[in-house]
Amino acid sequence: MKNNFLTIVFAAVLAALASNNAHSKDINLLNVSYDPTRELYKEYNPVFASYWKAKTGDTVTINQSHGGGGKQARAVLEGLEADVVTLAIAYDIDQLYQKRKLIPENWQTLLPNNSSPYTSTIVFIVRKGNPLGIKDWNDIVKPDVSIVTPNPKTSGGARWNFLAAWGYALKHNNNDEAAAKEFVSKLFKNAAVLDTGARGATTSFVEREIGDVLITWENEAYMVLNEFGADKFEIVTPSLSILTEPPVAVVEDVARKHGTTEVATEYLKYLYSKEGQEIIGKNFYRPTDPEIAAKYAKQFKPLELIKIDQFGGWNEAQNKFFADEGVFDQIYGAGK
Amino acid sequence: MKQIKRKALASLINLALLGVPVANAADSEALERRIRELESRLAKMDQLEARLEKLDKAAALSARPIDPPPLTNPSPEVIKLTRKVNTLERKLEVQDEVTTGALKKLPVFDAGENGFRITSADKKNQLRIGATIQTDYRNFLGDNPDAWTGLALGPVGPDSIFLRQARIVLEGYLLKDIYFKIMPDFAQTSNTANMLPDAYVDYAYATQASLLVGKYKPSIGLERLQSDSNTAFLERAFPTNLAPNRDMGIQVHGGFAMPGYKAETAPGPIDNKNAFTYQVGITNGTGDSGNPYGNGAQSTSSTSFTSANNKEFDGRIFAQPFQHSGYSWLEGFGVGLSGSFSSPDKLVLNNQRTPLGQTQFIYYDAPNTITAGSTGVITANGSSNRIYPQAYWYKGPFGLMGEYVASTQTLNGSDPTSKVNNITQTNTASQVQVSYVVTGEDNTFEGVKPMRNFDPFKGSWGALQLAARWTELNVDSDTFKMIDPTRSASKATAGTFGANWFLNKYALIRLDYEYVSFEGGAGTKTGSGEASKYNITNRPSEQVLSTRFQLAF
Repeated sequence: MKNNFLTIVFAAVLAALASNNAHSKDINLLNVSYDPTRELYKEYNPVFASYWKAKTGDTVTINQSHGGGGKQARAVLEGLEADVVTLAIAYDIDQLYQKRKLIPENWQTLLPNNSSPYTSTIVFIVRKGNPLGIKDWNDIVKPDVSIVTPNPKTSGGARWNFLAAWGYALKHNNNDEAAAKEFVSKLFKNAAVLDTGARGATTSFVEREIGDVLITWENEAYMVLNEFGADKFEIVTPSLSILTEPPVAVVEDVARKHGTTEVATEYLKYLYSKEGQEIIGKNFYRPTDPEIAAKYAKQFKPLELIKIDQFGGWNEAQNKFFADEGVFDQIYGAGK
Repeated sequence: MKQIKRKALASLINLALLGVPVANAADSEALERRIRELESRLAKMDQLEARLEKLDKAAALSARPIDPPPLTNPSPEVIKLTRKVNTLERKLEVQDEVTTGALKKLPVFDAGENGFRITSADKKNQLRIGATIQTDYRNFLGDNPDAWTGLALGPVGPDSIFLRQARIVLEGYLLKDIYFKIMPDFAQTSNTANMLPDAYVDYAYATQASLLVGKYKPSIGLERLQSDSNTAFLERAFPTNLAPNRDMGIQVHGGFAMPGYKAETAPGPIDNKNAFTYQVGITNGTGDSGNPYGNGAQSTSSTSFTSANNKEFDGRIFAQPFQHSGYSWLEGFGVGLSGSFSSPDKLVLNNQRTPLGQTQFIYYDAPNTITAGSTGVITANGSSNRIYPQAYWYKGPFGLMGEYVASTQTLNGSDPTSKVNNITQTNTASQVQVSYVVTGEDNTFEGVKPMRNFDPFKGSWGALQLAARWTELNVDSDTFKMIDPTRSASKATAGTFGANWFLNKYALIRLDYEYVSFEGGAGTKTGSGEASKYNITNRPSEQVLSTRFQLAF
């Protein structure tokens, strides 16, 4: 009697599993991201895939594409079929609406925290021992200092770098824009090479040993120490920097075509979950979940953070500084 | 070791001397001396062996590369130079990355075998720029038509050199599937109807069904559908005259391949690539040899003669049923049927012209004043239809084409008091043409491409095609109840011989001779009132010799 019962239960479980598998789907997602998030999504994606498998029985494979944020946005506009974008600045994602209506106009309100599941800031990396005694922004505009930063024309991170420097210069020059322009002119004069993206800049600084100072994302800086050795490099946190808020969005037009809207939305929502925020914290991004943020607060040095609002938002900042013949073109030369 | 050797040597010698009587003291002494000599030599050999070992070791050592000592303390200048080199290398890499990315997005400009093209980097967009220039010389042999008719012969006078076509072709596609063609003809400034022969968009999303909208050749006559640059003769035969030249409309068309093969995209109203094709269209309706004026918008004035609200429906099916059949001699065979139906409302009819001479020989604007009234223009008004069987066959250098048309229309006069104000006319026309490429190149519906371009210094002369054609047009006898039989012929028969010299795939020199004979079309009117009658004679035959220099790409 008992054996028959167990047999029946066992058979029922097998049948349920078979039934589940019979309806399970294989789904592919393409996440088009900016340059330094490789390690983050390498860790996050399998965790999400397991979560989704347990929840729905479907197998989701996430393919990643990384590059300078501006370049990535242009690629999506030109036809790269991204289900989700996780880019460096809101302006780049907004172009997907402005130019091709691939996302809704109110995309930034669809996820918490202006669709930014993590934040970061901009810091410096110097050679071990800090031979040039770099402490703050005014040290890296000195004549004998060679810096590495990506190109603001192609990299979202580089635009954050630029605005952080501009913000510092404004603060220390009574909001004098001419002085700020002079300041960033000196900064870019010291640029040894302008890579297309943040990871390229890291390669130049770390592997090719170019430059004295790398201006980069805070999370990238910690990654460098982790990967390449804290005995070779140091992080210098300036007195003032900018709160970087890399946003994320489902490319609804593409997801609808692929039939991946539901999983793509959940993929981004899961970044806000405790598990997602833990991975974010472990990868040296600043989590937005207060509980997880508090847990990882000690790994970040305190500093004054300005926000993009100070520049009137991204649209205004882009037009003023980074559009053709904007401030960056004026100081560095158009087409470079 | 030496002791052992000494003893061994002594033993050997003793053994060697075994059986030998005991030597005397002198012999023993000699033997001792010999042993000492041998020992000395052994010692020397040991020394030599040791020296050899040393030399071997020394040689082995000298073959091993010696690593330079590491640079433990590079000078600041070296460090500076190294960093400079690294920086320059990295700058080059970044520049390469940017340039490669930019290059991938650059459009491709192609000026060569396929004309002039601009294609986007993703190959989804293309613009092709072409042109056709035709300069003709037309020489009427024998009787000058102008002399005996005393009438204007139309825009082209006898024995003249004139620009037959000066077309710019802009065609291409956008987003892979949206084809377009705009083709103005600047040689037609005196005839605005012909100034823009083609202007259409064709959404060829699926080979089975594409949508074409604009101004185009309605898919009715076979020779009309052949490109002007590719016909075997300078001008088309009579059947083409009984179909519209161009019209404004919308057409659904598609093509199907033989089983197991994939259909090819064939934008435009002509598809000779696929095994089975169809075209179904609705147009304004422009009548025989018709061409819409201006942008084709129909006038709403009640006094103008237009087809107004009544549209023309046309359809065609064509098959090349032996494609991929393995019967190579039949693969170039095509057969089809087209037709049209309309109900025009006072559509002004075009006078009919001879093929090569382009002289008018049927005058719808010259009414039969005896029966149809002294004034008035004959128009098509009412039911009108055409049936158009057609076929061609090309095999190697040989080409054969034939078509027949029966065109029925209702003619209406504008004079309500005339005895005959309304007739149904069925005109028929037919043609058979044969062509042969003497130099051996393939003869095709799309023309001839010479294997070797004209280059006499290298002994190559291009390609030569010879052609002959018979064509006839029969006018329904009832027509002459409404039009003047002494002006309009009831029948015209033309024989044409042509030679086409292809200098290369773009340039061509043609020479045609045509002889046209007529039945009717001449005579006098005698009597008056009720006693009026026409004394009909045959219009003199027409002989024309015409040449054309053509560049088309």
